[in-house]
Amino acid sequence: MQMKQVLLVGYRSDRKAILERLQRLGVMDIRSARREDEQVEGFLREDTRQQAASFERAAASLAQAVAVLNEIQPEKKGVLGMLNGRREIGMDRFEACAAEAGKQLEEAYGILALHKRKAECQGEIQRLTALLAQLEPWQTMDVPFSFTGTRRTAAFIGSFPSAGTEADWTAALAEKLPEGTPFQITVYSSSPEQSCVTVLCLRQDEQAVELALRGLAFAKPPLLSADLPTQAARERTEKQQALRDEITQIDAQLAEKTVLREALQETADYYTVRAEKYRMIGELWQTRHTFAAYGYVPAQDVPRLQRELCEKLPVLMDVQDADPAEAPVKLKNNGFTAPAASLTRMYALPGPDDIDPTPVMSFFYYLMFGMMFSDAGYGLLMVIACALALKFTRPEEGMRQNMKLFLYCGISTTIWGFLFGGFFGDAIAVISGNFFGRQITLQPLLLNPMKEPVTLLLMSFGIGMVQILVGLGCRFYNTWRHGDRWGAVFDTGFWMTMLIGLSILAIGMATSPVVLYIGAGIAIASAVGLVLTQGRKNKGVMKVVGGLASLYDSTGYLSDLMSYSRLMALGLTTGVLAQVFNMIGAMFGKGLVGALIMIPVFFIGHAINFGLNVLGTYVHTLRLQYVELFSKFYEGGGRPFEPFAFHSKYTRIKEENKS
Amino acid sequence: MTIGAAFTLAGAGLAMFAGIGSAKGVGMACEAGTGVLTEDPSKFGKLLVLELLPGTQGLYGFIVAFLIMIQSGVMNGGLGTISTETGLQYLAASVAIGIVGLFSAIAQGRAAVASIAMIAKKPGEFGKGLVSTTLVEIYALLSFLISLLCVINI
Repeated sequence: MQMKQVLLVGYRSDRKAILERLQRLGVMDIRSARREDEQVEGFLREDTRQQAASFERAAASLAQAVAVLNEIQPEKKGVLGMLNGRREIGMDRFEACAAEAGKQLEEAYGILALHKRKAECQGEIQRLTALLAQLEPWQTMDVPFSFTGTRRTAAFIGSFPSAGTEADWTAALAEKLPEGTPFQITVYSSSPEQSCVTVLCLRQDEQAVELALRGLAFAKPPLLSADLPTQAARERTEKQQALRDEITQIDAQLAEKTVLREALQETADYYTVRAEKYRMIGELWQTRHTFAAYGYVPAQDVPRLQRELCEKLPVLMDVQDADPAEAPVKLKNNGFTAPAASLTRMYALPGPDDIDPTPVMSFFYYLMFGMMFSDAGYGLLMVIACALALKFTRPEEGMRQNMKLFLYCGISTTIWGFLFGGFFGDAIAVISGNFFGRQITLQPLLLNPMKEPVTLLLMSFGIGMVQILVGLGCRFYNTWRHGDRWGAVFDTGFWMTMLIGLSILAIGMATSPVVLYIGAGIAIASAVGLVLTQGRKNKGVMKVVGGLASLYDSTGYLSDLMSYSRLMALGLTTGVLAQVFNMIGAMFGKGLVGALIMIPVFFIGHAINFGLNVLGTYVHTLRLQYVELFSKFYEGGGRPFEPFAFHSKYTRIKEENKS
Repeated sequence: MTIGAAFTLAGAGLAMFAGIGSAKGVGMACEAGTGVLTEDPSKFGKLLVLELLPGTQGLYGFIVAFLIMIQSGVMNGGLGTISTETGLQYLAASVAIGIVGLFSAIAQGRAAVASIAMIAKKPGEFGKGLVSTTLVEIYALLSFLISLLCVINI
C-alpha cells in the first residue's frame, strides 16, 4: 500500500488535542523515535517516561483487579461467545472513563488489598494446620508444655525420634544414668517418627538426666505455651475457623465487586491509551512554543487526516512521497485475497524491492488446500461452520479473516470433493449398500483417486508446474520493473521457456511425436541460451563453465516439482482414512443394531480424520507456498506499519460516526 | 493359509513400521512442547501443529498397509489364494515406506523439537520453524509414492 511521509507542526498549547485526535484516527505511524540519537539544534524532548510509567502501573493494577474478579466469578461466555472479540464501547463511554478513573482505581486497589488479605489468611490457615498436626500426639498430656517441674522434681517434656513403649525408653535412659537414679517416663503417643513423653526426676539429678536425654536425641516440644495441649489445640482450631469465616466474607465482598468488572476494564484501557499518548509526547520534537511529529500515513488515509485534523485544529501538515526503503509496510488486499494476508505476514512482510505476493499466493492456497483435503462432506462442514460463525459472532479482525480463509478453503474443498467423488469418504456407497440394500455410488466428476493414482500424481505435477511458472513470472516482472531487462530475460525468461519446453515434451511423450519434438526443441534452445548467458559475469573460459554449471539448477526445479506429489498423497490420506472408518462402522451388520453402532463410529472416526487432515493440509499447503512459490521471487524483510492508535486490551472503541 | 498370505501380512506389518518412527517423533515433539506449555499455555495452537508433523509417516504407512490388505483380498476372505510370489512382492513393496518412514519420522521429530525450542523464545518466527520441519517430509513422501505405485501395480 502506498505510503506518504507526513510532517505535522503545531503549537504546543494544542499538543494534547492534536495527539488525542491522531490517536483516535489511528492512521499515522509516528517515527520520530527512530531518530533518537539524532540531535537537532534548538529542539528538545520532554521526559514523559515517569507519567507514562505511572499510567501503565495503574493499568496493570486494574488488570490485576479484573483477574481477581475473574477468579471469583469467571466471565460468562457461550460457545459462540468464545469467538467474539473484545467488547465494543462507544467513544462517549470511553471519554466518561476519564471522570471516574480515580474512583475506579481506588476500587481496584481495594480489591487487590482484599485479595492480599485473603492470601494472608490462607497462609495462616496452612501454618495453623501444620501446628495442629504437631499438637495431635500430645492431646493426652495433662500438664502444659511450659511445665518444668515442682520444687523437688524436674520435668522434661519432649520427644524421642523413634517408636517405643514406656518400658523401652525407661531401659534406654537407665543405661545412660548412674545406677539407681530414680526417674519416671510417661509416653503419650508413639509412632515410627517420634514418641512424645515426659520424664520426671529429682531436682538434684536434673543435669545428669538432661545430659542422658540429649544422648538419646531428645527434642523439645512444638511450642512452649502455658496452656494444656488440648486447650492450645482448641484455641488454634478456633482461630482457623475465624480465618475461614474471614475468607468467606472476603469472597462475598469480592463477589459483590464483580459488577464493577466492566468499569474496571474500561478504566484499564483508558490508562493504557493514556500511557501510550504520554510515551508519544516524549518522542516528539519540541521547541518552547511548537512541536513536530514525523511519520508515515497510508496514501488513502491522507485526505481523511486532512479533513479530521487540519481543518479542525491549528496544525500544519506537510505530505511527501515516502522513500520505499524506509517506509513501513501495510498490505493492501481485496476481499478475496485479504484472508491469506496473514499467511504472508507469518512469512515476512514485503521488503522494499518486493511485490506483494498475497494475490498470487491466495489463489494457489485455496486451490491446493481443496485438492489436498478433497472431501465434499468435510468441505461443506467447513463452509457451514465458518459461515455461521461469521454471521453470528463479532470476532476480532484477525479472527474474522481466519474464518474467511477457512470458508474459502472449504468451498474449494467441496468442489474438489465432488471432482474426486469423496463425501465423508465413500459414506454414501457404504450406507446405501448396508442399510438400503442398493449401493448408490457418488460418481466422481473428474477421476477416482484410488483407482487412478498415477493420473492424479501427474495432475499434481501439472499444477505444481503452473505454480513454479507463475513464481518465475513474478520474478521476471519484478526484475524487469527494476530496470534489469536483460537479467530478467536471461536469468528467469530462459528458465521459464526451458520448463515450458520440458512440459510440452512430457505431453508429447504421451500424445504425438510432433509435440515431443517441438518441446525438445524449445528446451534445447533454452538450455543453449542459459549456457551462453549464465556465465556472463565471469571471464574467459569461465564464461562457458559458469553457463554449463547453471544447468545444474534444474535439479532444484525437479525437486520442487516432486514436492507437489504431496497434493496427491494428502488427498489420498483423507480419502483412505475416511473409507477405513466407514468400513469399521459398517462391520456390525445391517438393521437397527448395526445402525446404532455405526452412528458413533462414524462421528468419532470422521472427527479424528477431519482434525488430523485439516491440520496436515493447512501446514503442507503453506509449505508449498513458502518453499516452492516464495523462493522464486520473494525476499521479505519489510517493517510493519504500526500506527499510533488505541491499543486497548478489553474493549474496542467504536467511533460513533465515521464521517 | 498359504505362505504367500503370510508374506502379504508381513508386508502390511512392515509398512506400519513407519508408525514406530511417527510415535517416536511425535513423542519427542510433545515432550518438548509440553515443557514450553508450562511457561506459556497460549502457545498450544502453534505447538500442536509442530507436534503433529512427524505423525504423517505413520499415516502413509497405514495407507500402504491398508491398500495391500484391500488389494490382496485379506479384507474379503481371499487370503488362501495368494501365491508365494505375490506375497513376496507385497513384502518388497512395503520396504520403502516402512524403513524410510521409520527413520524420517524420527529425524522430523528432532527438527520439530528444535523448532519448538525456537518458538519458545521467538513466537514470531513460527512460519520459519514450520517450513524447516516440513523439509524432512519430502523423503517420506517420495518413499510413500514408491510403495504406493508398487502396490498398485502388483
